[in-house]
Formats: sequence, structure tokens, C-alpha cells
Amino acid sequence: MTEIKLIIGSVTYAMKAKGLLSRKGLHPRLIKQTRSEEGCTYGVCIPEYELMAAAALLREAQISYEVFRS
Amino acid sequence: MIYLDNAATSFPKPPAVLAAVSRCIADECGNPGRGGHRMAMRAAELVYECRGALADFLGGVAPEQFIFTLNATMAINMALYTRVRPGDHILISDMEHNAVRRPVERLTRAGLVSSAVFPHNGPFPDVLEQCIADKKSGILIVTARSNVNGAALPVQQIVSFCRSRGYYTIVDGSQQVGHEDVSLTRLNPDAYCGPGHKGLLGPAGCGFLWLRSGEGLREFLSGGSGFDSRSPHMPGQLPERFEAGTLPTPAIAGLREGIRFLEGLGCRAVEEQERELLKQTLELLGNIGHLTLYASEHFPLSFSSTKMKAEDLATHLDRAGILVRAGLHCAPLAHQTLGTQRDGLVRISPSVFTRSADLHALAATLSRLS
Repeated sequence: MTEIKLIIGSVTYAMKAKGLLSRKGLHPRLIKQTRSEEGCTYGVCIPEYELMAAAALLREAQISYEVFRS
Repeated sequence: MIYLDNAATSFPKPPAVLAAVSRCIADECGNPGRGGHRMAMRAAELVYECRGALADFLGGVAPEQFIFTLNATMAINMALYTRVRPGDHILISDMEHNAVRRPVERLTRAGLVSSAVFPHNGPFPDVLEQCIADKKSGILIVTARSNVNGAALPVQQIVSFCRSRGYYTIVDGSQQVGHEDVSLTRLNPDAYCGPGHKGLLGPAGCGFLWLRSGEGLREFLSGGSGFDSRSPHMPGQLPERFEAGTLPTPAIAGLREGIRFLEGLGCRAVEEQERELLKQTLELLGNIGHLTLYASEHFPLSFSSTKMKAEDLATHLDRAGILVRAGLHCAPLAHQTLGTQRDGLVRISPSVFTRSADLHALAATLSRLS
């Protein structure tokens, strides 16, 4: 199964996103990344087929994210 | 042993609090927001769950608006120092704890701000109007409930008035939170400060600062935030902007259980129990001739005796297995207002675990004083 990473920033907002997506029936997994621009950052990993739904939910909750395809 | 010093710190703690602290230290104590391994992630979950528990308990606000601190004193200092500007006018009541009085005094002596003290019993908004006068920018810091005699200030009205005058409003909820139903959406301050280890029944080492917004607030502590590390500045968003360094995860885990315990009881039941205990205490102690009571509609309740000075009386009670606090309670301003600043008072403050028999034992010991 292909996964997509949604890079969010703080662990607090990553947890907020995880909770939100889980409550709506999606399958997020909390992740940590190190990126060259910011350094350490947190996000969630979701199955690729859940991307559209996740994106809509996060936009509505005003949680900004960046899509990262590994 | 009868513990009646819950205004200082609550005891005992619910068994689930002890279990949570122990479990955290044994199995779950990674550093939250620092690593990506399972222990760090589990610790991050514990912390977020506690933010969520606070958010639900205090009126359905957002979890990320809660910043963990060492205690309410740190929260108050943080709320003040991140916001204060040169020339600000700071209002405090005449019942404030040193956690409020001392930082305000420090800023006033440094010539950075002016300050004024308003009487806690009003009339409102007249006394605020007089204190504000023509000073357009400022900060209000007010306690919701005195830690000496339980006097409850009409904080919602005070906050509303000061906000309408453009003042930044900070509420010290140290003796309120966990003792009555608090809704931050209804109260509507800019900042609310509370300890985790008093009415919320968590362990010492954890308090919180709720902020309506982090906009325009300067950094307080600067250090590691766990993300956005390449930036030389603290992150811009709550809560990490004000949480530099490692959080007290075991204390936070315990606090989450303390809140859950209170939710199980219900705020109304807690308020009702305290009201009943206060009624009994007033009846019991009111019949003891050598006591002068300093009481209101809430605990804590304090008293003096013609037979012994406050500290000696507290020692006498300690020997009898009754634990109370005597002196000025870190609130000399309140004692000045009550006229008790010379010798202080003996203070009693029950918890949800205090029983009627405890108060009867206190009254019996005081009655036997010769």
C-alpha cells in the first residue's frame, strides 16, 4: 500500500491532525521527519487513497500541511 | 492524619493519579515532541491527551491553547512578561497572591509601568473606572478567589469591563479551578492561569497557562522546541512557542487523571460538597468563643485565636494530627486588606476527600484549647 506523508510542523498540531482524521474514519500514523529547511518536524502518514479526504478535513480545521511523497 | 491544606497543594491524590505517574516513569517516559520512536510518541500522546482534557474541562476551548508550565506562578509571570509594554498601567485587586503582586511590583519599581490596586468588593465597575482613569493601555491581573478567605471576585464582570477598555486581562484561577465550574468561553479573558496540583488533583510540577491567542506576545523562555530547529527563534504557534525544554511528562500524565477523576464526580457535586462542608465549618467554629473567622462563600476559610498566635496554633494542631497552614499565605496584600498582617491567620482548605468528621475533629481540638 502506498503511503503519503503530510508534514505539519509541531507534534501538537500533528496530534491534532491525527485525532481529527481518526475520528473521521481515516487511518493516520504519527511520524517525525528531519528536513533540510526547518530541521525536525512532525506529521501524519496516511494511505494514498485517503489523501483527498484528509486534505479537505485539514483545510477545514485550518491545519496547514505539506504533502511529501516518499 | 487530617489534611486541611489543599489550598497549598492537594492531598491525597486519586489512586489513578499515582498509577499514571508511576506508569509514565516506568514505561512511557520518552521525551514528547523530541524523537520519533515509540516512547517519544507515546509521551507526546499523553501530553496531548492532557491538553484535550483541560480544554474539555474548562469550557470546550482548543487543546493547543494550553501551555504547560511549572505551576500557576510561572503561568502568571509568563502571561504578564510576554505581554507588558513600557508605559502600561497594571490593575490588581487588594487580595492578590505574591505571584501577582511581586512581578507587578518589580515592573513598577523599574519604572516600566504604573500600577493600581482596586478593592475586591467593588463597587464595580466604579472602582475599575477610577483606577483606569485616563490610562488607555494596560493589563488587568485578578484572582478569581482569594487564597486566604475564599472571597470570590466577580471576575466575569471585571474582565468584561477591562476588555472593553482595551486592557489585556489575566485571571489567576489557582483557587478556583477544580472547585467550581469554569468556562473560559464564558469568562472570556486573554489569559487564564492555573496549577495542576491543587483543585485539579494532579501532582506538583505542572501548571498551565491558557491563552486566547499568542499574537503579539514576546518569547518567554527560549530553547529547544522539538521542531523547526534550524530557526534561531522559538516557533510562532501555540503552545510550543512558550514551551522551551522538556515538559514534566509524569506530572502531566498525573494531571490528566486528576481531571478525569473530577469529571467522574462532576463539578456541581464538588461545589455542593464544598458548600455543605463550609456550612458545617462555620457552624462548628462559629461556636468557639476564642476564634475570629475570616470567611466568605467559599473555602479557604481562615481564623485567628485570642488564646494562641497563628503559627503556634498551627503547630498545636499538627501535634494533634490536623495539618493546616498559618501565616501570611504568600498573600500579604490580602492580609493587609483583612487587617491581619501582623500575626497572620490559620487557614483551612478541604478537598473532595475531606469528610464532615474531619471538621468535627478540628472543632473539638480547637474547643479544648486552654
